Amino acid sequence: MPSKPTAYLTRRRIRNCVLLVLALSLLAFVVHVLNQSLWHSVFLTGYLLLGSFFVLTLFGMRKRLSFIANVGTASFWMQLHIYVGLATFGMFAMHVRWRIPDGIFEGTLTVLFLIVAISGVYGLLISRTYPSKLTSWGGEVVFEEIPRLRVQLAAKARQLVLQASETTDVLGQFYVNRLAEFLENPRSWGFWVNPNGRLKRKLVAEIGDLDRYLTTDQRQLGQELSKIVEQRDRLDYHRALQGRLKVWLFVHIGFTYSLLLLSLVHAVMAHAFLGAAG
Amino acid sequence: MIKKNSRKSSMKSIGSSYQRPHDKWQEIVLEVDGTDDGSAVVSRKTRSLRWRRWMFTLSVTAFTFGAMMIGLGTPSIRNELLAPGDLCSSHAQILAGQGADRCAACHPGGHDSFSQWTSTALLGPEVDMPTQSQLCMKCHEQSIDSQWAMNPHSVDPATLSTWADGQTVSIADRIKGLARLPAPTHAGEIACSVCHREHHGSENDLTELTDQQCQVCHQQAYHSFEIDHPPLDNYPLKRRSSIAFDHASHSGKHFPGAKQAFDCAKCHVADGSNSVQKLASFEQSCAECHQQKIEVMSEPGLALLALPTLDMTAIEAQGANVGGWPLAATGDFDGPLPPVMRLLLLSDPEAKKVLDQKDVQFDFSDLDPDEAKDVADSVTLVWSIKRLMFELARDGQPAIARRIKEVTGVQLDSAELQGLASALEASVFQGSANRWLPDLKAEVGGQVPDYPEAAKYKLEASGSLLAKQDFEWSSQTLAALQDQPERDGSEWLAKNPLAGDGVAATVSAGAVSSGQSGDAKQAPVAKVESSRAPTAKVKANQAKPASVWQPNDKSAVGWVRDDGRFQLRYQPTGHADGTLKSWIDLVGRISVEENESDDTGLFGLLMANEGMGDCRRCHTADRQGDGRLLVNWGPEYRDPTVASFTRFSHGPHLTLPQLRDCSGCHQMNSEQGNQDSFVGFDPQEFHSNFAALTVSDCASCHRSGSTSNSCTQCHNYHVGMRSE
Repeated sequence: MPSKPTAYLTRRRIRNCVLLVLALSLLAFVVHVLNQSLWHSVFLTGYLLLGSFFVLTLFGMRKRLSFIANVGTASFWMQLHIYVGLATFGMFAMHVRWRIPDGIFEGTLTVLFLIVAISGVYGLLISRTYPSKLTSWGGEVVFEEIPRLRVQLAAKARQLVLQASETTDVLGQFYVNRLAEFLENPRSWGFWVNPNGRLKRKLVAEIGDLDRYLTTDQRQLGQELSKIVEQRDRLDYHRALQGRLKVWLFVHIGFTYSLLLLSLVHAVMAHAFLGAAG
Repeated sequence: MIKKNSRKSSMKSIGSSYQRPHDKWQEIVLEVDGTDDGSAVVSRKTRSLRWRRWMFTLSVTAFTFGAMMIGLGTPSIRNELLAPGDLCSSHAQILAGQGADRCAACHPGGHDSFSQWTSTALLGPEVDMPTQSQLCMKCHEQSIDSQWAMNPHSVDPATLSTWADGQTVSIADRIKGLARLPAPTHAGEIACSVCHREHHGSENDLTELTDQQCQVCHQQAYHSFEIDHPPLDNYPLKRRSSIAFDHASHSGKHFPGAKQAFDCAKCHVADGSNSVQKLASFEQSCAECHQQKIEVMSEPGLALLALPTLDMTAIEAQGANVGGWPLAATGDFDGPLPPVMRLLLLSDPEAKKVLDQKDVQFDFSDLDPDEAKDVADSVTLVWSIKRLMFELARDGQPAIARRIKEVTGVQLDSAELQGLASALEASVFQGSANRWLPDLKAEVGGQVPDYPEAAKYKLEASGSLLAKQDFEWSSQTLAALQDQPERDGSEWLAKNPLAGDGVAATVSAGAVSSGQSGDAKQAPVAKVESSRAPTAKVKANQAKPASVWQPNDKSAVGWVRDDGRFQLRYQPTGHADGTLKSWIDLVGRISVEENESDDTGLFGLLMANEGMGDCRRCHTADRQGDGRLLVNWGPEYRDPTVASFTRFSHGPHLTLPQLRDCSGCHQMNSEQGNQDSFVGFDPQEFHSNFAALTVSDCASCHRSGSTSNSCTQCHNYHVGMRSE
């Protein structure tokens, strides 16, 4: 009995990928015929690219545009955005004839395209993989709530340390020397680039090492501090991954309109510099 | 901004509220109270992430727009900014110093503003805007005929259609053709940019064309050269060679007879580009055997003027009058009418009327003295000859040009006239006239009108035109002639200082002695009385040449007055004489209605004329599309700088050991003579000493996986293109 396809190979995804490959193959054939027939295929691929850019831009603007606001479901628009976006890689390669443009204007256009397109692919990948990772790391956390929760955790840790200081100063000294920096400050750039639990594990281990100096009640407070460290680390992990889910849009959307603008200018110039026929 | 909330307010602002992603403001908690819900006691409001993203987007877009406007609005950087890639090296070199005009050199909208570009893109180019191809032709008009540059193969459609005649396209090819689009033409023309794609880097080959691209128009599908290329159609024997040469007889008879090896390399040498095996010069390849014969053959020279011998008795018997005539040139009707003189006489209506009835090979000996009409014709021609001589003596070279134009419509320029009559001054004609026909002015001076157009031939090279007013027919002239000591032989006018002295005052005087009429030699003055015209006395010249022309006088070249034969003729310098070539070229140019046979027209008559050195024995003449005859003076029958459909370079082939011997490709049939192939005017009607090449000969190397077998390996697209 054949094994059931994994979740990555859904029927919709297979169908859309086949359609994408077929569409690009058809376009490649048409471009080949045009080139072999001495026609300028760049106008075909150029207009397809420009049209694709507008369709892709509509995805973000559809709620503001009344004439398409009710056309299709959000899922349909998402799928359209993803696969048209992927198709633009092929269109672009055919448009530039598989070479790296070396003009300043066309080079800029290429860089903009690559920024928007690659950021889009990056966004697609992380939006498909990060949610499950985040869920496995302690459920859902609202991104905008993270600062407050972080401050709250720090306050709670301070309270615990104050409570412990009535009987021992071990936890207080540890807090001052080790925990305060972790709980009351943002994480380093290294963590945002590569979020991991190394520091958390180290701190929890160090709290555990304090047990030999603590009474049973004081150890209970130490364990609560360990939980706070773990919660803070989880919050930071959420913030790092959710931050990426939001920041890639900075790049993707931020350069989209520049790409559209220069693409329009490029189209105008392509026609203007072609001159009269003949 | 930082605010300290009361417990109540902090509960309200943070603890009980949910911050939504699309909120413009976001509250950042800096401090909370100690309760479990962690209500804020210190917080700071800041812009939301979404707001920041839009601001970033707006900033990037605004920056892009601003940078673009600055770039487009600054002429000094606009070209560099917009250039979509490097030009090919040759174009880049040419346009390197053009600055802001660089784009406009090739693009009609290069100088336009962005708004004009937008207008062009949306509404199309303005009516008077030149096409990009027209701008290409501004530079390339020297290499490609602008009229047909954009037509397929750069030839006129009518010619192209004749080339395509007979080509059929199979159904299989038509089906394959469905996978192609028709070529992108506009009104039947193909823009340069259809094939030549610029801005692809300095190393880009603009002329590169794939076989598939050739087949956009060529619907007959070919898979590869070795499989289904059409037969080579007698290549390279599409036409005879320009120089008549029988390889078979030379290799089989002449060279062995002279005990010489028949070595191809003796006559066929590589040119500078090593692409063409050129024929070596005459001196290198032919002179050893043929030089002497040419000199002997050319000794009779080319006569410009020749007085015929007249039967005065017959003329008198008919009651006709020819005025004065050299006594030595009297007797029976005799003497040819030289081709050049015939040509000049045709401008005289009376002579034309007679000559049109005569065969082109007319000779005065053809006249029957008993036939009144023949005698009358002779008289007409004599007066016409006199008018010709008078005009030549009065106007000099311009008279030749005028008469040629009158007859042929060909307007000679000064250089062409110099080529025909170099150093032939009016004084030369005057000398001839004074000596042969001293009463010429009195007899015909009033019949020859002034021709104002003669004045425009101011020959810069010699400055030798004699103004009409300088021409005097005076008794002093005759006296001077008589006073001069006798000189033997003819006068070599081109070298003779007399030639530049105007009138023939210093021409040697002497009694005319006719070599043709023994009686006349002794009669210094012969009078032939005419009963019909008392004033028309036939006089023998009082001046007589001392002796006849000596044919073995090797030093005598150039224009010669032969008082013995009453001829003014050109004595060639030997092979490749410029003046002879000029006359042959002229006659060929005007011989548009001659038969294809070699000997029936003026051209044939000229070439058969004694003294032409038998040029046509080696130099073929081709009938051109406009009917004129073009004599092939050199071995090249086509300009090597002009591209034809097919090209071939010997250089790379001769590096192969098996092809170094010419016979590797050119198989000679030693039994097949070809001398009759060079007589006619159609270069395609011939048979060669050699076998034609076949596709398989070439395909042994030019095949897939081996040497290139693409269409453009052997074929040019722009037929007629001149190399730059």
